[in-house]
Amino acid sequence: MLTIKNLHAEVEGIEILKGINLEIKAGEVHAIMGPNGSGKSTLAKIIAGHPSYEITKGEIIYQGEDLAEMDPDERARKGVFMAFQYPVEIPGVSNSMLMREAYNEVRKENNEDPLDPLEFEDYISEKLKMVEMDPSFLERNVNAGFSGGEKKRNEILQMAVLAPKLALLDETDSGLDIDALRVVSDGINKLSGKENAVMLVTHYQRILNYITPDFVHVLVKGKIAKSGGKELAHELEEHGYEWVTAKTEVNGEAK
Amino acid sequence: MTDISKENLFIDRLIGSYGAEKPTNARVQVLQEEARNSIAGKELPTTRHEEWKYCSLRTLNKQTFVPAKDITNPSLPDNVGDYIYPEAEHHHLTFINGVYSEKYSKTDKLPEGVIVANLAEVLDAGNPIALEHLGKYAKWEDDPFAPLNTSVFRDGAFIYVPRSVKIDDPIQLLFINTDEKEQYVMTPRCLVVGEQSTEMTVVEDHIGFGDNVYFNCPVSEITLAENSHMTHVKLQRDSRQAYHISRLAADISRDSDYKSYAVQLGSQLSRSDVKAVLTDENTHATLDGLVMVNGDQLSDTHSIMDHTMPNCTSHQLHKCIIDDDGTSVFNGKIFVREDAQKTDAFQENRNLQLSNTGTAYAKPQLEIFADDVSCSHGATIGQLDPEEVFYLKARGLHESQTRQILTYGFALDVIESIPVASIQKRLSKEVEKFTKESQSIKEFA
Repeated sequence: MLTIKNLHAEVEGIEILKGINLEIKAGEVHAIMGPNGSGKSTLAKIIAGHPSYEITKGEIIYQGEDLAEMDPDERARKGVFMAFQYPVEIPGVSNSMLMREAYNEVRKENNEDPLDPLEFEDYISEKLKMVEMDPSFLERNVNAGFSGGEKKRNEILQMAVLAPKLALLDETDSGLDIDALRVVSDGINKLSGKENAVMLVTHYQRILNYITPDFVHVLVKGKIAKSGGKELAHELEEHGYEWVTAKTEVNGEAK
Repeated sequence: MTDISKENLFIDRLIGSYGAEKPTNARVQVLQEEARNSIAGKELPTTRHEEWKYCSLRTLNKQTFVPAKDITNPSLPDNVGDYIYPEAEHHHLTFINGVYSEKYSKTDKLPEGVIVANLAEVLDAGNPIALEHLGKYAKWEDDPFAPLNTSVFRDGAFIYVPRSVKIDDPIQLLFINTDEKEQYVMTPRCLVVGEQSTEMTVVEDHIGFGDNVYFNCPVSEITLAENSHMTHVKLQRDSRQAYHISRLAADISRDSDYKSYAVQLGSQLSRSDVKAVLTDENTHATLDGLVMVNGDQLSDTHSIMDHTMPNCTSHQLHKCIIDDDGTSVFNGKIFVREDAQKTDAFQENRNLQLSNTGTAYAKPQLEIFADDVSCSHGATIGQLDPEEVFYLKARGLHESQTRQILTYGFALDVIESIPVASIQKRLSKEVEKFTKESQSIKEFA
């Protein structure tokens, strides 16, 4: 589904990604872990098409197409979804309006008729239950005045509505209490299946107690320093990121 | 230097075109004569004048207008009734080019003692309340336009609400300005008197039906006695070639609450000076505004919020959307007089620029003479937030759709605070139209 080859990227002239290679297939869950500043969030943002980052070398192929050639909205309509680390508050736009417009764009892309507000209400009511959100959330402005946990649940609700092929979850677990983490994880588990893939960017191992990854990659200084199965996360939990950084660096230089 | 003879002065020419016809009431005659004398021989202010720094009247100065009442057979569209808001079905006054139209006005179902009528008729009949308040509040330093209106006005609206009466539905004042070959001037006048413990909503709606040049120079005076509540909505949708220069003064007494929402959409040049005087303790005033300019439109709002006594609050949220080569000007003065302790004043001017060629001038001016007050003010000029744009695009919304939605969102809090549903709907459509036609948004996409 997604093939990343020798990806280099920078922001404002500073190189953040220094040669990432990654293959994600349908049905897989990949966890991208790493210390702060390793470039893991950057990777998610670049796949989603954030305009601040520039790809300087390498390529991102999604379903056989070059993602770098597509605007973020085109990527989204083709099934790429990013749950934001810091969901943006949009004053004056109701949650239900945003989700209906967004969902209808995806439907148009798939040559399906758009849903009217009533049909959409039926469609979204079951999704609300999945993330244990009250229908009143739909009438509130997008993320405006939401608590941190509510914002993250709202991201998962949007994911449920849009049913993406590739979901990029950018530190969705950070800052959540256990109850909210459970709700969010349950949602993600229900939404992942054979047809779609999940890339889970996380700083903490804790969410992997709820979501079982097929692969774990550790990003250090813009490169994948180590890849493995779910057991890698446990080793990281035990030894900390120093365990990987120590193995890959001598006196701060890459081995 | 060329010597401009007095006959060539804009104000003199304009007043001269009205002839010698006088109102029947002697007191009104005196008022009009005084006003006439105060501006005779005066020139229009230039941009050298601090209050007119960004608003040039040079093109207006060159125009010639005939009094709108002299256009005897206005080209009236047959759907005038469509412009009455359903909420105001039972009480509305319609003015065609500033002239009262009995045919399109209706004032049934009003509570006893309430007067909603043509001001000219009320003054002719010598109504003592109207005579007492007329001309008392609309006063600005060095201003020719309020006196201009005073010297020649005839028709307008008089609204009187007696003690402890609440009018549930809004009263609409509809000003229809028709498409004519001749350039005309009109000077509608509104006077609203609310006695103690009254409640009302008044909607002032100025609509231009063509693309013609005319000059609309309205003045509104509001006076609210103790414990009254009034919501005042003004929609300016004049012709794209029109000049709209208006004055609004509100005099608010103890325990009263006056809320004004002014929306400026039309005119090539619109200038509104608004003034709220909080004359006693525990009064509240809102002067919110929404301005949308594109093409080469200029919209200038000068406001005065005058806190004279303790424990009063005021609110001003003034939002401008600027596209193409449009210009918005906001000058907001807040006075907090020596006695006005515990004043809580809020003022915010936010400007959203959709194009790279628009201009916004923002000038908050606070003059505080009391020492125990809370006054906040802020002014921002900016474009749509790139993070917000990215967030919506990352949800699959097209660039133009994203920018339309965010622009709408910017305008929405002012629209939502207007408590008349059909005006909210009308304004939502206006914003939608504005953003859909925006060349800047199209170019982004």
